[in-house]
Amino acid sequence: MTRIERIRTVMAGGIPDRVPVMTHNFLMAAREAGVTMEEYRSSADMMARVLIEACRRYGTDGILLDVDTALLASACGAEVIYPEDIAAVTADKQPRSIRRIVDDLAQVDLLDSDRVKIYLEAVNKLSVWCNENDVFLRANADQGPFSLGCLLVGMNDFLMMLLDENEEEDLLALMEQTLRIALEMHRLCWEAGGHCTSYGNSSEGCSVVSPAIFRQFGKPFEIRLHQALKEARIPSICHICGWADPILEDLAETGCPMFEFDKRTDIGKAREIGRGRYVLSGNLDPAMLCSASPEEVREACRELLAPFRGQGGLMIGPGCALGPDTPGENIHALVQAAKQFG
Amino acid sequence: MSKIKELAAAVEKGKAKAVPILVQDCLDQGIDSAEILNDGMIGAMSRVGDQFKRGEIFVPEMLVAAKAMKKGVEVLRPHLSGKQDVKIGKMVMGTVSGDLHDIGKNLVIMMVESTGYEVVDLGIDVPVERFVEASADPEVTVVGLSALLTTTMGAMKETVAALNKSPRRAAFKIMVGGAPVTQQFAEEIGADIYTADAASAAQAARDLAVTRGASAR
Repeated sequence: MTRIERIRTVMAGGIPDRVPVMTHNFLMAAREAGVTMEEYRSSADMMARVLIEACRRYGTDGILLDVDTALLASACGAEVIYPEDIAAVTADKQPRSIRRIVDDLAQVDLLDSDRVKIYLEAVNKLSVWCNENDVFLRANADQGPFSLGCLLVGMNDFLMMLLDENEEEDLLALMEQTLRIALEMHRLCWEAGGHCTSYGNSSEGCSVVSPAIFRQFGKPFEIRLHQALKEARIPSICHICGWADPILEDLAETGCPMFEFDKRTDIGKAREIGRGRYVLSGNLDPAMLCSASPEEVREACRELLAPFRGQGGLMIGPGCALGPDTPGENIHALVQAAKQFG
Repeated sequence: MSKIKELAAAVEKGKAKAVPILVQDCLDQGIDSAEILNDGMIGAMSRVGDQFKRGEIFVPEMLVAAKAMKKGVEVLRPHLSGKQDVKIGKMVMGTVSGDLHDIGKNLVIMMVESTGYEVVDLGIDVPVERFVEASADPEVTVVGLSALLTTTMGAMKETVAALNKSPRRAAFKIMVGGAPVTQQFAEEIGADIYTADAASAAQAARDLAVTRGASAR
């Protein structure tokens, strides 16, 4: 199988020749290349160069293009902090009221954002290289509807509004808008050449909100997102940090083909519940990949891979972003383990 | 239901509008301010923390309960002064350098404050030197470090190493926490206490105060 075929096969629920491997490594790759986050996020050429170098170095099956968690929020008018060598984040306290945000979002065109344009240019550049070199390209479309809403309102205020029945109408209006914007970003990433898209919706997981809140404000919009992506034939991966065990059945009902979980979600339970409905990406601990020895990494990979070998259902990698100081020898150990035990 | 029980229930449910009114009702009935604080609010927040630890409630429920208690304390504070030593310890707390997230830190601050600590919020992306400088305050008994990102665990390690060289080191404990942090990591970097969530952090802080002989509530 080619590398692209390998990942496409897993995402479609088939059985590949071995478990594919992809890392969430933009911070690490930039550090290895001697590039600051400011330089990385400001240049499509820089993003492409940094990730291509890392892919060549480690021989992963795919590249995950990511930049930070504030790309869409910045295009939607949120206050964003841009440190020199840290990934950008939205300010926790946002100045606009939720009604003002909803009104403003109706006017948002993502292609008015310089940051989005730079990012899409990077998708396009990487797409050309990936197709020439048989590497799968996962173009991250930033945040899902729930997390984008959370960032736009400000996390503390947003979370408290979720419990206030007087805010329900405004929150649902916000979700309608963030769904539209999220979907548009998936389409743009797909048209720019991604082999699949992905997005983070971590704040709807149970490390933050209850299953009831997820069912009211998260799940209906996940279902609609995936209906639209399916109609557009765009395969996508949903990343949820933290504890997702109580909502695994709900997630299976969203129609999302692949979920990426971190170490706090029971991967065995996720596999059982998702069988035939979704496949998995992850869920190695980035902290372990940063601090363990290559032999310990190899052992963790062997243990994770054992139930999936010859069965499909998994793309191995870290369950969240790797730290910039992750030792390269541990990523070599991860890739070698995938090839040997996958 | 007694007014105190009504107040406790309102704090637990995060009724930010009702709590100040109920505190005033309790005062008007002549209930002792320390009883209002301890039985009406701190006890309620402790139960909220326990429910959070058991996975029965989630971050929004914690936030609204803490906000409601804060509103109640604002009404009660003028009646407390001189009646009891409100402060059982002093904590300085921040998110380590390179990490711009503050919800976890804010939750810890709210919960630790509810036990009677004075907490100084150092903010986010706090440089090592700022933590060291803050720990030099002779009243500080706990230094809290938060990290949400796996990418900033290195900064936590550096900060703990610098704090361990402080001449006041014996006078304060270093508490660490955050999504990527584990007990093993805390031990490896030389921190004193790892807590998995805000409620556990508050419990650990309260236990420390008891050990030190402060009149913990």
